[in-house]
This record gives sequence, structure tokens and C-alpha cells, in this order.
Amino acid sequence: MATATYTPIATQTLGSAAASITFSSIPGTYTDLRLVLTGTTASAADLAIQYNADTGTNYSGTFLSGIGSSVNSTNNGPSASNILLQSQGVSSTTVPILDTVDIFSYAGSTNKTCLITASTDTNGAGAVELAIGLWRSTAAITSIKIFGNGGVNLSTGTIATLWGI
Amino acid sequence: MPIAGVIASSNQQARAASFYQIQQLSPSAVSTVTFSSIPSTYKSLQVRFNLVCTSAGANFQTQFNGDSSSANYVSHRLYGDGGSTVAGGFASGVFGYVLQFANGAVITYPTVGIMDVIDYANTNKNKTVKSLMGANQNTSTGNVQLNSGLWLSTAAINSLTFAVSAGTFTGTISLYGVN
Repeated sequence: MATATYTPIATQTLGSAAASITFSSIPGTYTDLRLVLTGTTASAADLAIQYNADTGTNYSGTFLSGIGSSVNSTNNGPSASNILLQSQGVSSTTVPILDTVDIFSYAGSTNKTCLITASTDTNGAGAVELAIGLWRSTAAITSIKIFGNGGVNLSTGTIATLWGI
Repeated sequence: MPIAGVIASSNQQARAASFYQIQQLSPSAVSTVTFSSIPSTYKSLQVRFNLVCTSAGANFQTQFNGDSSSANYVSHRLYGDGGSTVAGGFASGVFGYVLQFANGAVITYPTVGIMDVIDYANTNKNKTVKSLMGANQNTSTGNVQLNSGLWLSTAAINSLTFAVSAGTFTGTISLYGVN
């Protein structure tokens, strides 16, 4: 018998500017996770994520980006210290960006790979991007930190929701 | 006797549920898996997978209802490999399957993806597929792709076969029904 899934685990809405949003104590009872983020930042920045408070150079990624009328593909890494959610597009102080991150088999024993979509249109600039991110660890993911790369604050009203699938 | 508040609450929960796991497989060192006897009670299907492959650069490919006729499959792709970007299309008569993640698989680290099959049980239209797939292995090697496919058949989809073009895969692949 089919089992209903795609369950909201938690939502966080920033009531004031903050350096990061962290989902912790993530239960290991789902197959995949989906993170949905929309918000603005104190200045233009790339947003990024880290798992399980790992700040080591254990991350990498590959991007396919459309920027206006051009397209390109770039790598983040090898051996980066986070998974970037954007490569060519950046966040804005006024226009919300939208990122989705699908994290597969997050509680399993394989290394952890995620699919990212990023929408950063700012009316005259911006990008749409599809990306893959890798965390070279076989540990179960129990926490996810979202932050502005370079220490840029997430602004009031930024919303992140974590779903279990 | 029903309690109005309880009924209203449970109905709301029933309406809210729209994503169902139909089947989950844990393949080990195989080159193909098949979801069969797919019920026709959903609007769309979604396949999600996390698979470690043994052959770098392998393609992923999907067939429906055991149909291997190249006359019935069409594919398009847009991909980036960290340096170059490519778009391409394959009209019917080339592949006997929907071609996905062409030359993209890596070894050691997982290849992941999400494939949506829209209106799969409708017997008045051909079937369109969209997929996002990717893999990265912490070198200059990475690949991320947006693929579309078309199965030129008005038959309801009742089985879906997922395969790699070379080597085998191990991991998790799940089929979901969406309303």
C-alpha cells in the first residue's frame, strides 16, 4: 500500500537579521530531504550550506547557469569548504531569491550528493541555475546550516523549510 | 456518531496528502530495475534515486511498458560539466529509450536524480518526461543535466524500467505517485 510522504519537518522564519539558519536534530526516518529557501541578504552574496557543522574542505559542486543570454558551467572546488547554492547569480538586498536543495539518501551510508535549483532574478540581472553538490562523508546528515558566503547576514523575513520525503 | 470537528480535521489531512511512495528498491550491482504493476490512480509519477555506478560516463535510460522500439522515443538534454555546456536532441528512430544523463555517471560517489512523468495514465496523449540528474566526484569531473523525453504512445504507463548503459549500480531508487 502506498504511503503518504513529503512531510514538513520544520520551518524557520527570521524575525531579525542573522548570520545563518540551522536545522538540527534532523530525524533519520525519511529517504530524502528537500530544503526550500527564499529570502534576501544584507548585501549581494552567494548562499551556501554545510552539513553536521563540518567546516572542512569536504565539499564540491558543478553548476549549469543561465545568465541573461549566456550559459556556462563551472565547478565549486574541488575540496571546497561548503556547497554553494549559486555560482553566477547572487542574492539581493531587496528581491527574494529562491533555492531548492534535494538531498538524497541523507541518512544512508553513501557519500552525500544533492541537486540544487537557484532562481536569482533581480529585474535586469540575475541567473537561473541547476547544480550538483557533494559532501564527501558517509555520516548521516543530522544538521544543515544555511548562510551567506563571506559572512553576509540573512535578512529579516528569510524563510527556510525542510521537508522529508 | 461522527464528531464534526474530528471529521473536518481528518478530511483536511487527507486532502493535504498528495505525494505517495509506491515502491522503493535497493538494487545491488545490477544494470536495470523495473517498477511494474504501477497503479493508474495518480496524476503524475516521480522517480528519485541515489545510485553509485561502476562505469564512469555511463548513460541512464528509461523505457515504458517494456517497449524497446526506437521509433517510439525522443530525447533532449542540456548539460554542464564544469567547463562546457551542451544542448542536444534526438528524434525518434535513434534510441529505444528515453536517454538521460548522457555520459554523466561517476564512480565512487553517487549519481542522483529526479524524474517526473506527467499524466502517465492518460490514454489520449503521448507521455512526456522531465528529469534533473547530476554527479560530482570532487575533481574537475562533475556533470549536471536537464533532460526531457517523449514516449510516442497513448498507452497508460504500467511499468517503468530504469537502466545504465554500462556497468552496474547500487543504491536506492523510489517511485512516487503524485496527485
